[in-house]
Amino acid sequence: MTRLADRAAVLSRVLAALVLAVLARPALAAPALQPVPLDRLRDRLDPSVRSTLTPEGLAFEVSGPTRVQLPFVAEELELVVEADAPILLIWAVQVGAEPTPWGRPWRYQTLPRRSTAIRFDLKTVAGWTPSAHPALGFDGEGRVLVRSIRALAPRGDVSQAREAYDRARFWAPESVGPVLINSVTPMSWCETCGTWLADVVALVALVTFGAVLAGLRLRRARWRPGTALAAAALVALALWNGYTLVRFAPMANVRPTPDAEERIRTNYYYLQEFGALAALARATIGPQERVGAISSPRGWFAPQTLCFDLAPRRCVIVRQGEQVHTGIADVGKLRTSDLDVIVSYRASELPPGFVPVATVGPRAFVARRR
Amino acid sequence: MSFVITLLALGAAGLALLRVLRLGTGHRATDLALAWLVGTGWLAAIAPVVRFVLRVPLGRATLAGIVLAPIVLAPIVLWAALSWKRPRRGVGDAVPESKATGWLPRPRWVFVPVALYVALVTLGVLLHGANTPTQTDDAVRVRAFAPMLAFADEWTPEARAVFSMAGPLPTFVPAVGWIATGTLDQFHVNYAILTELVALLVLLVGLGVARGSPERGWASALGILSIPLFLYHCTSTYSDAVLAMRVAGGIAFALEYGRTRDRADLSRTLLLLGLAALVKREGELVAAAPVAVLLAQAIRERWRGGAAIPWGATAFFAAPVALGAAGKIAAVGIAGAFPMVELVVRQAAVAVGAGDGQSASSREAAAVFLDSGLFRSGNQGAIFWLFAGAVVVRARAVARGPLLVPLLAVAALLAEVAVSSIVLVPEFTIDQSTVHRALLVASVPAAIWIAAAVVDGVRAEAAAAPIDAAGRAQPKPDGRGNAARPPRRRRGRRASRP
Repeated sequence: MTRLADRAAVLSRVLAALVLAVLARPALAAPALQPVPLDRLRDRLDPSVRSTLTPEGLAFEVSGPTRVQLPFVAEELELVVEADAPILLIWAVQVGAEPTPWGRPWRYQTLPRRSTAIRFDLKTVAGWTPSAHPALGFDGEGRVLVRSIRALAPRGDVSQAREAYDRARFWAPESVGPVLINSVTPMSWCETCGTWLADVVALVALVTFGAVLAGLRLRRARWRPGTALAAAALVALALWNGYTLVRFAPMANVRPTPDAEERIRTNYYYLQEFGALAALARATIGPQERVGAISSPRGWFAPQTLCFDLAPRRCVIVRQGEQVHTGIADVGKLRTSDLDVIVSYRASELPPGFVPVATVGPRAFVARRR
Repeated sequence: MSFVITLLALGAAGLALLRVLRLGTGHRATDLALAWLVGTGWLAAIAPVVRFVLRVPLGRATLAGIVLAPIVLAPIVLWAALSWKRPRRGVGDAVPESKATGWLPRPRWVFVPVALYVALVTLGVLLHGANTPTQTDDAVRVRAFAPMLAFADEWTPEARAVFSMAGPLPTFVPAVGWIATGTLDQFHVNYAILTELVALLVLLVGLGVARGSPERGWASALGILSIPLFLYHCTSTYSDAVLAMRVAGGIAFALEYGRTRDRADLSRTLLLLGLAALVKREGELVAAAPVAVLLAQAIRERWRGGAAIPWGATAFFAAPVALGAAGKIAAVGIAGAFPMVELVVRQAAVAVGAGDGQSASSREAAAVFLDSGLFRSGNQGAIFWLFAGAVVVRARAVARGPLLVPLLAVAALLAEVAVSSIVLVPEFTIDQSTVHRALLVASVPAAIWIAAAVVDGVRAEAAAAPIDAAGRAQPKPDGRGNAARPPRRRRGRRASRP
């Protein structure tokens, strides 16, 4: 057992060194990014995007979900960027004229309030190819100032690009999103070849089982399938769990946050503006007030989650054109005339008589009667 | 932090119940973990009866839980009263387990990394789970909303429908601290689920230590923490992870019962499965599958001239199920109390009379279930690969040993999920919207079974070859833990506990 332990210790050190070398390689060999002239970029942007070239940089007026397709190809991008409101930056790619879905794992980040360089690898995005254009998404209400953009053009031939894409996708961190509750992002060993990680791990486990079984048979002159099974299970779980840790750790919010209000304000990970509104509503609406939550006609998530965040206050989901409204799962009823306060998240209009009194942005605010 | 009130009150009630019912294991950490599972179950079984059958208000309007307090205190008072009558020894004080070992087994080079992984992942899950407000539709509408209704105690028909969907346990447990203090903190739902996770991990490891097989405990903990979707669900406020953990706790004791044949272990198994029935609308159906296997085994043994059917132990399953059902029926009527039964009947009728279209979708769902659901997508980690491997490699020992019935119980759970995913709601399997989380009730218990199968296999082989090739002595095997041979059965005897 001691000899086995020694070998295992040596093996674990070698493996750790290999993993470190693999992880460190891209950082050590990181190529230089080339600046993208903002004036020329501005001229080639889709005219429907509200952008202005200013002395500080390229400014985007964001009002709700906004998509910007950049007119060049790249495999990595670096933006020096800031926003004046809680705005989410999403990065994706677009091939051809039709906008492609964001894909999984969804790549996003809250934009900083101070000018900060954000670098991201477009190869981690579903559907990237050397001919794909970067697509930036902004979600929120406010102004985004891009001070500079630098890009790395795709390198190598098609097969090298595909290999790089597969490697990047393999290590792409998981992200919290609306469908993560149903399933994690499918784990591929090689996405473009259609090979699953599970198959590879199973194969490694099977080989381990065979090797340990044969090794023990030769050394001990006995078949020990139970021990070989244990070895195979440990190898499979070590591979699987190590991989899962690498992909899931960046997603985990492990900063202890004792204040529940701060958690609500900052931890709606992909709905920063919503979190800020929920926290504002909780801070400004009294416990006995009757609340209506309103959003766009098809926006079901925001009003019901606002009512949830405002519990135990009496809260209903306000539907335009109706006088009687119900709460979450139709629990509780209030008439429009009963409401003391309205919390509006991207609604097109307010019920008559209400005016904004506390705002997160132009379309996210708390309104009271005049 | 008012959740401490929930933790202490329900933990104390659970400990008292364990003593009164004589279900304590005698191992402190294991009993503390079991106390949370039993104490929360007690509240979940009793509260709906009090609220909906007896129509006694339970929410914040009842002056800081003036009615809730007697429910929580009742087991403690009963235990104190019974202990007072028999002062020499507290009722249900169990004899310490003679097989108890150290917490960290050998070889250390295996189990130190395992323990570190368990600690690291648990810490990450606790922090992320505690940090994350409820942000998914189903949780906002049902799972995390139900306790808010219990706090408000305004049970309109719509609110009662939410209660029926969520189940008594997710409805009442997070609300205890709110009712006691009069303030609502939505994160109690998160804390309750995270406490379930910690309780299950402590139970698994503690039980292994108490029964002389800490390897099994750590392997079980490693197994369940190797299921990526399960980890994520523990940080959400859905109830799928809670149901899976409850069932897994029952399976852990079913494995112990297989080894010890101690009726107390069977009682613990049935009690935990009975309490699992109080989670979600499908809790009763899910819990019934492994219970049916255990009962079938008891009937088979009786038929072959073995021990009497343990009717007393079955009461531990029947009582919480009956109480939960009574509460639900009083709340929403018999038609609304068991929506899953209604769905099963309706969908089964559709499936039987279906044409080619339904058959095609079921075939497609079966392919998705087997390929993506069980083996490839990564949601269940490598659990079903290992499950298949363990069944094949240990087939002979399993067929003759104490692992067989727990294996059948896990298989029954898997079969139930398969029928639901392939026949009843194939559309949700094809679009992969529910199949992966539905599988958690099978994969988490399966992880515990795999751990037992693997550890018992190594132990059996070590026992068969006590001296290795180099002439060194091997660790002595646990006489009860030798899975190669079925243990000697104690016929017609109750547990050896006082």
